[in-house]
Amino acid sequence: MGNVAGFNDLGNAIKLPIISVVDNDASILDALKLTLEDIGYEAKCFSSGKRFLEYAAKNHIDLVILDPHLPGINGVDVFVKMEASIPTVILTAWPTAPLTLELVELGALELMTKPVSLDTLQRVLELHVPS
Amino acid sequence: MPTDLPDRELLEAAPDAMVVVDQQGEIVLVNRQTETIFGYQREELIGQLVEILVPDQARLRHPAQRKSFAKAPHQRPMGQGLELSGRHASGREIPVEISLSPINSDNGSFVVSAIRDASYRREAAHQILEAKQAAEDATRLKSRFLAAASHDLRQPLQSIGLYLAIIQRQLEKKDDVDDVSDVTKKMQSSLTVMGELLDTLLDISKFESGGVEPELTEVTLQILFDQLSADNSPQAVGKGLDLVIVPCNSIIHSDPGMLQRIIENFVTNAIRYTEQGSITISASEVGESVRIDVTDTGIGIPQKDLNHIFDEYVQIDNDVRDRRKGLGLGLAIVKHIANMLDHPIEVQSIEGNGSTFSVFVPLVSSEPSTQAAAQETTDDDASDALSILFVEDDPSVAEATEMLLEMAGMRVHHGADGREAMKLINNISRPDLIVSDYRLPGDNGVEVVKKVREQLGMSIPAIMITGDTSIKEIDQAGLADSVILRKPLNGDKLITLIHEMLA
Repeated sequence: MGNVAGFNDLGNAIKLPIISVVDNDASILDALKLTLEDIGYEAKCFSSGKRFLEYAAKNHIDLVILDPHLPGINGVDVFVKMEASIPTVILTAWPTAPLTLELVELGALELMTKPVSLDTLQRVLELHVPS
Repeated sequence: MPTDLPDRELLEAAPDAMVVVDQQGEIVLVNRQTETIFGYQREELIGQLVEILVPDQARLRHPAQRKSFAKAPHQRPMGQGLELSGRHASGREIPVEISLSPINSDNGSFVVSAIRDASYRREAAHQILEAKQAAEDATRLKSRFLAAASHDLRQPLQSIGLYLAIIQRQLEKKDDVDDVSDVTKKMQSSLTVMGELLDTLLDISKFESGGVEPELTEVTLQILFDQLSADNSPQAVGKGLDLVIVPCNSIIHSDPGMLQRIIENFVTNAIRYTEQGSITISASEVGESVRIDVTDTGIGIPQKDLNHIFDEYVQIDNDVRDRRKGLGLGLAIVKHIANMLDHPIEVQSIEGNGSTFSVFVPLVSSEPSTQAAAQETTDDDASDALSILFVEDDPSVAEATEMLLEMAGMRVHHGADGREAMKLINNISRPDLIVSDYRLPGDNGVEVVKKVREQLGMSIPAIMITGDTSIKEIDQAGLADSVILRKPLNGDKLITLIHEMLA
């Protein structure tokens, strides 16, 4: 359900915003998970679009960091399948590839090129999902 | 016969075929070169329509072309920019270049054609065009590789960048050192990936620019396998995988360095795409060849991708959909090397079960020849190759010490702890000496040495490295045939000690 950040005045648990990462590079998933948790988010990471969609169907996600180039179902198809219901930012090594541009066209909020610095990542996330 | 035509001897000496044609299109005069180029005796041509020298498909148009020239006769090349052909007596087409000149005389108007055999020039032009095309293709290919590789480098850079930022924050928060250490370890695999990518780029420049010629010789496969095992065991072991070499006694014919590159690439990929189980290197004789297999228990390759697995993998201007990280570039290079060596390669795979990559090499013989035996002894003599099992968990100390020992001509097999040391023992031949740090994660250095000796069934000399605090402990443990060396490590002292203990 989400990590608890603390309790507010009414004694209700404050939950951390949930950010999903979809990227088929395992070490990027790991690094991002550690990073996101360190800067005050809860991270749910997926190496395939399919598993992300399965999770997203049943769980609330505040924002997804999506790499357009995924094996199996690609990032564009993922975006389309979830009917643009989750705010999406792109993190990719191929900023000018057709898939990336398509995803921007379809409505991704931001385009970040790897390697993105922690500062930039944090600013972008703060903009769309205050922690 | 017109009398005011050019001097006959000049005509005869002309390097081109000279054909004089009257207003009706009949040939009135030819020279020797005409006979040579078109394969006729002149008597066969005089009085004939000039179309006899024109290939079938152009024949219909030619009279109209003559008429058109006659309307505005002036000296000019014929069919500028076109590739013209003439027809030899045998029926074959000859590439030609033709110049036309009108001549007026008392007997009427004539046209002189100077016809040059352009076979050589046209062939050369085609070859240049082909070479240009090939060069452009190669450049395009190289650009694609380079662009793909440079984009690929962004991935590990991203991981490393994030890990560093995390470490920075951990240090500011004065987090636990072990937590920081965990993150630094994770950076290692990203660095390895970058290293491999850069190696691949180096390969591209070496092999694609044709800077390498294979040097074929007899190769003892077992020696190659041993080298591969030594080089790749740490990586496999680090991932919890077994690297198994099936012993073989085949002698084959190949370039050892290039063949090693091929098999090593298979092994690296196998390690990368296998999460659990083993990677096996083996060889079997098939007729006059030896088939070298690298089999893994990894994630496998989908059937539809198997056909393209060796293709260079990405079209930048098109689609990176099918990109395989690292795999595509590496295997394309492997294919290139295999082509240069004329060694067929193939792959079999079952998705979810594993893959086998194979390379076929020519068999020389099945028994170690005297030459191979000599090869082994020379190796030993040349390098004085003492084999050291080195157990040290601090990566930078390990690296520095390893370098030191290797520069002194020793073969170093490094494990970060007791578990890795035991796995190494299974894969390498018996070490001459064990150098171990005392403080290790899991079993301490003394326990590790004891276990190794038990496994090998012999008492291998050992050097125990330690800071001041542990000396008493080690003494009490009573490890036979061992010497304690204090930190900080003095390189010369270590090397001298190793030699003394083995003297």
